[in-house]
Amino acid sequence: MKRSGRTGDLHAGSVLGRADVAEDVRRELESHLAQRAEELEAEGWEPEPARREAERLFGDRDEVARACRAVASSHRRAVRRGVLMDALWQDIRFGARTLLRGPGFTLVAVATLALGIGATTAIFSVLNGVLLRPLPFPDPQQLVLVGERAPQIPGAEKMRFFDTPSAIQAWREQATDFQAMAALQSTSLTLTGQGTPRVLDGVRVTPTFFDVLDAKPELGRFFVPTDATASPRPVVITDALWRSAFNADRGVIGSTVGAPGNEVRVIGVLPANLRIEGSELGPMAAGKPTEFFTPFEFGPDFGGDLTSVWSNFNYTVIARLKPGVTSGQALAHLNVIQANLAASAPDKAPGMTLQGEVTPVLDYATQGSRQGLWLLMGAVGAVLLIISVNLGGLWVSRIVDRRRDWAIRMALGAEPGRLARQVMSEGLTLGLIGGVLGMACAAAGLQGLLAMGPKDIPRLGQVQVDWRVLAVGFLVSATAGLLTALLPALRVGRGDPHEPLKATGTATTAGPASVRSRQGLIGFQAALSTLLLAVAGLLGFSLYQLMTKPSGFSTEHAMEAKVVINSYGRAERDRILQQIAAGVEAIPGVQAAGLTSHLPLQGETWVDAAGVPGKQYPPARQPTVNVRFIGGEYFSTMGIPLVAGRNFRESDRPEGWPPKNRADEERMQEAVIISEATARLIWPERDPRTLVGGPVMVNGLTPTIVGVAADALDGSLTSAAPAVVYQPYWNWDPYAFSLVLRTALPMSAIAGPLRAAVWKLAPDAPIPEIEPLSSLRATATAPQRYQFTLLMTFAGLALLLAAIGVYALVAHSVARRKKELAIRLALGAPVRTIRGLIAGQALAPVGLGALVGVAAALAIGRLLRSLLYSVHPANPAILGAAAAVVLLAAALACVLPARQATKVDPHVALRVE
Amino acid sequence: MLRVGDGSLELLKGTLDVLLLKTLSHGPLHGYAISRSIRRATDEAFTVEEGALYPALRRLEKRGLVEAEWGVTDTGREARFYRLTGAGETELASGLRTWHRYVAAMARVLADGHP
Repeated sequence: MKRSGRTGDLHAGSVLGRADVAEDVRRELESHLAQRAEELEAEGWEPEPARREAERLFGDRDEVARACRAVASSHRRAVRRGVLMDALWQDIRFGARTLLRGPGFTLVAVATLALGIGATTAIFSVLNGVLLRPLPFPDPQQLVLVGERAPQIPGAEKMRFFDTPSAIQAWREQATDFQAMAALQSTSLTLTGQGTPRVLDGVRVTPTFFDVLDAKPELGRFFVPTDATASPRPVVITDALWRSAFNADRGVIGSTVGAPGNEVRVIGVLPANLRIEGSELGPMAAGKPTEFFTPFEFGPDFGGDLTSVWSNFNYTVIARLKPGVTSGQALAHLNVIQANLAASAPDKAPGMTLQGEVTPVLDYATQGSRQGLWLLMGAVGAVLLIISVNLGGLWVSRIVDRRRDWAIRMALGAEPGRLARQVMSEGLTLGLIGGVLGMACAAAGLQGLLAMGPKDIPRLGQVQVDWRVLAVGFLVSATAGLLTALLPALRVGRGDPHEPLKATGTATTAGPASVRSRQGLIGFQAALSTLLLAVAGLLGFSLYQLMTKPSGFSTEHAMEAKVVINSYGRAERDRILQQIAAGVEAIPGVQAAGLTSHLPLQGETWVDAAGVPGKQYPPARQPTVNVRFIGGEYFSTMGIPLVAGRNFRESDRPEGWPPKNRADEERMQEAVIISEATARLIWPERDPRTLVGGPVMVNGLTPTIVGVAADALDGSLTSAAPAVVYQPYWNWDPYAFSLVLRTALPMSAIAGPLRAAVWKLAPDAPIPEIEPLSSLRATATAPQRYQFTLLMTFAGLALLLAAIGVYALVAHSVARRKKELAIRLALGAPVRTIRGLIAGQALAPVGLGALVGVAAALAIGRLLRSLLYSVHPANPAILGAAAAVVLLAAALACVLPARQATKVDPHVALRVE
Repeated sequence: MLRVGDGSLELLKGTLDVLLLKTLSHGPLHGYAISRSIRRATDEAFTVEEGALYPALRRLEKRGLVEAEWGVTDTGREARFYRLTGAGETELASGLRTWHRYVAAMARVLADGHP
């Protein structure tokens, strides 16, 4: 009998298909019966009775066969698993040995794969943490933001999730799709008595807020309905605040903190793992930390407008859908409620309609960063693809160089399939080693990547390497490794052992198939590099436009400081506003100072209706303006020229101020300054300078225009200067304001005196930030700079890799064609021709690839549009430049090997075997 | 699966495995040869339905105690040959020890007549 090898070898007895098992059992039993019958015949039985006797002695044959099959099948599965693992392990061990024999290639491969996989893993961990990681609440997919849409209100598309108390009350009574619903609004709180006064950002919520989130307190309790009117106001604080401000003291529960007259009582602490980001709570709290929660209710003590359907859009609603209810169903029902509300509104407005909006919280929170992150993911994936392809090309040339080695192995009986599998396992090994290294680097470098990230990417602070990142990292590593090995595996897999043996080492040219496939790889890399460069170029040009766009204000030698004064009473606040600009101007070295309710580039807020006094506008045509309250020398400090009229004066303050009622208020709003954009919006035909002295309607009142200011980018960098109406600070009752000052002194010299000047007037006022005014633009362009920096890095890397690929191809081909080149030179071919011949071999596919890259950039242009500013995605100069840079890099990569090609000494080259 | 023949000894549960391993301890055998060998060695004292050997052999194979391979018999017939593995030898030794202890204990009890 034939002896079997050790268990686990690929012999027929061990690895059988399901049908084979049945056949195996049948044959065995048949063999037994035949031999038994034979023996009986030898004892003198007739053949047929002998067979019958054999079957009788055997017992129930079907039953035995069934039992054998059952055992054998389960055995087969176990063996097959073992065999596969065994073979894989064998291949990996062999692969590792092969790789160690070529340490140069292995080192390069592992290092570049580690780089690519590390970058991919790092970007994915950001994408995962920001976009994919679920919210830290039970059944997070049920959490939605609920909003109103009044399409006829100008600018409605920007006003998402600003809801009126009247609508919120209607939803609470009538909507049946929600388990719980809570309204909220951002707020702040000044913490004094512990050193420097500190301002906390928080959220006012209706008491059901934590029921919506389905959260449990770590300490103390959450809100009950009576908390809404309790005094002092109860607050629930985050774990981070509990640790930073209260030293994690458990005794803080029940204690009263805060400035006198503004005390709050701490009643609960959130668990540490429960971080609620402002961006998850709608537009009002977006971009701010959420450090505390305090309750309110639309009850008798509310004090605001509870019935108007068309104003007081100042709240956001977060709700939990009932299980099984979709956002779409909830929206359909909400739209019915909204339609009824618009029809029954006390402030009915003809032609105005109301709709609803229901959006999952996570979708809302991540909408702004989704495209940018996927773009980066695509870019880093392209770099990894280039790395794999590049290594694949390098590997093929190694195989070509050692093809006799492979041919001998094939001649000795190694099947091409087996050899291909071998190469694939080598690739897998490379990928996994590179992957582990890369992931380690990614984990180490992640903090740097995050620190670079702009503040307005939500949830960025919570990005970490979790199981999902690791799983994807390993998947990416394996894929990259296998992809690297794909081309070389195909090469050895289709190998004909005779071909390379016939072609002796003295072959004059590289095989055409090998050159073509490598040219294909070069072209592919050139295409991807061109695409990445084109996208980076478009983003870079957008960024340049944003950085250099005239803002209408001057940031040189100017600073801003935020001052929070919500711990003071109304009269004190007015006194502080009145005196502070002069106080700051008195600091030596300060040339001018002013104050404003809203710094530029902070978005459009405080939007009011405006127009020609007495004119009735249809609802959709009602002009709207951004109202800003200013004091001191705001315009000269900001460098915003007044094109007509004058700045406010203290003497503009009306007799008998402050107003005691609405009638007083109407009488006392006497002076405004309008921006040129406002003038163009309301009086398109009139010269703005002629408007000074005339009245304008703002929010139902008709003050007199005392000045016209030039436009400034008060909203955002990406939109045109909005219409702005400036009002004097005394018409405003702030909790915080921004000081602006013009000085040649450096930040370090001015910060101290500035604080002293503020605290002299307002000792309890926190000053959370002092920044150069230029930081406004830097902050406003942070997301673009982040995207551009990373994308440019990836594009540069891609370009470098493509150039290396070109260099390797040309150098390899020169080395292999030495003899041919020598003959050509000997026959008198001009050096220029030889160089052209060599370079053309690489530059032709690069040129084709660059064209494909430009076409790809044109194809994805539509997807890029939302990331670009003031540059068309098909900008020919940028796309052309990207292609040119790739071609230039490839040409440079050709120079050295092409020069070498013509330095071949014919005597030497022809003698080389 | 094992049926006791008329006037024959009952094969104790679990002893078939030891019997098979012992039979293979002298060298590889195919199924029919194992069956014949047991029949002869025991003087046909146990009447086992001959088919019952095969599921038992497959179980031993699955447990790694025997290995199987197709081969050709002396009479030129194809048959599945079983061979004891190292694990099978260990199992046989421990099975024999258990059996001897069992027999000795039974013998002592039955000879003395004490329960």
